[in-house]
Parts: sequence; C-alpha cells; structure tokens
Amino acid sequence: MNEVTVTLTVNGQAHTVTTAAQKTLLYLLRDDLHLYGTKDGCREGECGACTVLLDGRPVNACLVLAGQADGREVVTIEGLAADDRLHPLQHAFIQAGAVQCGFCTPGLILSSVALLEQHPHPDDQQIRRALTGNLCRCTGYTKIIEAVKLAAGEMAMEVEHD
Amino acid sequence: MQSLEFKSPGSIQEACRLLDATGSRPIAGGTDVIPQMRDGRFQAGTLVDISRIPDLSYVKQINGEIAIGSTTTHTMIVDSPLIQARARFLAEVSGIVGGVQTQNRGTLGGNIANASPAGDTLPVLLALDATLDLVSQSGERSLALADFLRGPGRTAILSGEIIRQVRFAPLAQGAQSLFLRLGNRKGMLISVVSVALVLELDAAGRVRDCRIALGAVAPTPIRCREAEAILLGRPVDAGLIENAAAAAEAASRPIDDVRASAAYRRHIVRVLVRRGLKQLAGLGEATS
Repeated sequence: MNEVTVTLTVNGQAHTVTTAAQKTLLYLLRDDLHLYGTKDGCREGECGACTVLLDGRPVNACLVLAGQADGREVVTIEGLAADDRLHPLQHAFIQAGAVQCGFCTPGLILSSVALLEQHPHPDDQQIRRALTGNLCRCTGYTKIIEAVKLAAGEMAMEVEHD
Repeated sequence: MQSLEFKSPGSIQEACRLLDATGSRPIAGGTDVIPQMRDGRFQAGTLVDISRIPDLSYVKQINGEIAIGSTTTHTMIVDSPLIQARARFLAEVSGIVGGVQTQNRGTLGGNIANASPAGDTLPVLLALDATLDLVSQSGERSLALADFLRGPGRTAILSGEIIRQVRFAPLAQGAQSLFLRLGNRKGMLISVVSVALVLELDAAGRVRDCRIALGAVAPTPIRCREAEAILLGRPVDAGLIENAAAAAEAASRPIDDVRASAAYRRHIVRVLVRRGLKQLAGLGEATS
C-alpha cells in the first residue's frame, strides 16, 4: 500500500499523519484523528455534510486527498467552541431550532462561519448562496437561515462590546 | 478507492515529467477526479497534484488578451474584477458551478479537461473563442478549445501534457453577455440545457457581434454559427431573434437521458436562446 505523510494543523493543533495515499481528508479526520464531527454523506461533493474550512475556505473534505492537505490549516466543527462556550453560530442553531437529525449541521455551521467572516451582515440571498452546497433533508432551510441571521446579530453585538 | 501513489510536484516541468508515465493522471481540485475514481470510471496508479504549482493559478492580461492559469479556482474567477468587467458571463457561470465548496476547489482547467457535455464553463469559453496553451516535456502547443473537445470525457490532450492556461480576447466594452441554464432544480445541478450568449449592437441598433454557444445538447458544447449569421449586421428585432432561436434548435443534437428527453432539450434551446437574446437586446422578456 502506498502511503503519504502529511503535516497539517487541525483546530489549531499540529499533527503529522502517515496514511494511505488514496485516503481523503474526510477519513484522515475521522479515522486517524478520531474527529467524528465531520460527517460522511455522499462522498461526491453534493451534500456538504463533510464541509471543513481549509485555509479558511469551506471545502468538501471528501474531495480533498490527504496529501493535498499537507501544510494546510483545517478547522472542523470541533474547533469552533472556545472552552465551554459555544460559537455564536452553534448557539444560534440551537436557539432557532435549526437542527433536526443533526447530520448536516456541522457542515452548515462551517459554511456559515466562512460566510460571516466575509459578510458580517448577509442578506437572505447571500445566505442562500453560501449554503447552496449544504443539503438538509429535514428542516426546509427556513430556520437555518434564521439561525445565521441570529448569529450575525449576536456577533455584531460582541464586536461592539470588545 | 483503489490504492494509488500521490505526488505533489513543485513546478510545471516536474509535473510533466511525472505525468509522462503509464497510469499517471493529474488532479487539481479533485471535484471530478475523486468521484470518478470512486465509481471506477477512472483508473490511475499515480495521481499528480498540480493544484499547488505556484505559476498555474492567475487571472491576468497578456498582450491584450485575458489569460487564466489552469488551476485558477472558480472562486478566483468570480472575484476577478477583470473577468467581471470584460467577460461577465464567465464570472456568472463560475459562481454557479456546484456550491461554494466546489467553487473553492474546482478549477477552470479541470472543467475543461473533464470535457463533460454539460460542463458549465465550456459554452462560455466557446463563446469567447478561447485558446488553450498546453505544455509537455517536449514543449508547448496551442489549440482552440473547439478543437480540444472531442466528445464526452474525450479531449485532444496527450499523455504527459497539461493545460497551462486558457486565453481569449476580452469582450468589447459595449458587448453584453449572459449565461442561462435549465436544470431540475436551482442549485447543485447538472444542466439539462445551457446557453452562453454575447450581443453587441452598434449605434444604429445593428448587431455588431453575436455569439451563441450551447451546452448539454451534443457530444461536446457547440457554437451555433448559423444562428449567429442570422443576426450579424442586421437591426435586432423579435422576429430576427425568433429565427436565430429556431436555427439554434436545429443545430442541437441532444440525447434522451435521465435528466430530460431529446425533444424537450431541443425545445428548451429555442426558449433559452430567445429569452437570453431578448434580454440582451433590451426587448423585455424577463429571465426566471
């Protein structure tokens, strides 16, 4: 079996992993680093359940080879909460009831994190565009969009207080 | 996925050397390559990652042309002021290729090399009369995109060769462009039919430049020169547009598949060409 050795930062922590060359970042995270928050949905870049931030941008971890993550910075859902405090988006998804089965939630939250970095006050259209690549089969998206707006408001208030 | 070797060359020369070996295939964003390997539609012993070669990712103006490096992501094209100003429909189409995740990884060169009849950027690049610069260990050659695309998933690329860049003349300041597609839903779709249009009128309202390209209605995306000839040099009106739309329909050779029947696709070609040209000509048919 051919292997690759990959050095990457995941949620602020450096890791060096030697793994099968055909493995994707999704299974490097799940099998090698035991981070199960990144979900395996379609394995073909359609559903967005495996969305992580790669150098700050949302990507489908199922379509990134392990070797392609070498030297990169990855943020997964496990990297958002600070100590015991949830990220405002995590909190807003709970507040708005934007979670049913929860399978799509980590991916949706990471896509939303990237959106709010770029557009702190997004309109509905910007939210919908940012979440096009994240499928939810339970909620119908209305509460998800509400949650993103709620978090945008919370984060704007935090910035004012800082 | 089957066992494979992974190589990450640091230069174009090294990439070409690694690719000039049996069983070596390039990978960039992986948005097509990885699903195809998983389905067994694509065999490779070695994947050569060209996505991190520094001098393959750019949008710039060279000798009056716009040149886009092959591993430039769709996101970079969406964000490029040059593309927004001088090839607007390329920025538009790059912003609807898959979702944001796909746009952040997927590359223009990859969309071309994949040569899907429904590849979203291809009709736009055909309408721009794009030329490809290909590079291998033995040197460089240039090929019109229309000659590069040979059939579904088939191109003129040789073993050991990669696409270095895509280039085209910017559209005239007064030209307008539009990309329209019909799919079975709004996002994350494979087009049933797509249409790329350019229209430029002179001061008298006559058509100075007109380009019509279609996706998903033939083995490769196609230009409709017959339809363009109907409009060129004439004052644009609804009747002329109807004739051009009919000519575009006649030029399509679609197939029946899981997404739509051939007859429906032909009908939709006429509808989208008519709708798009009317919009560009200011003849007031709103797009949905």
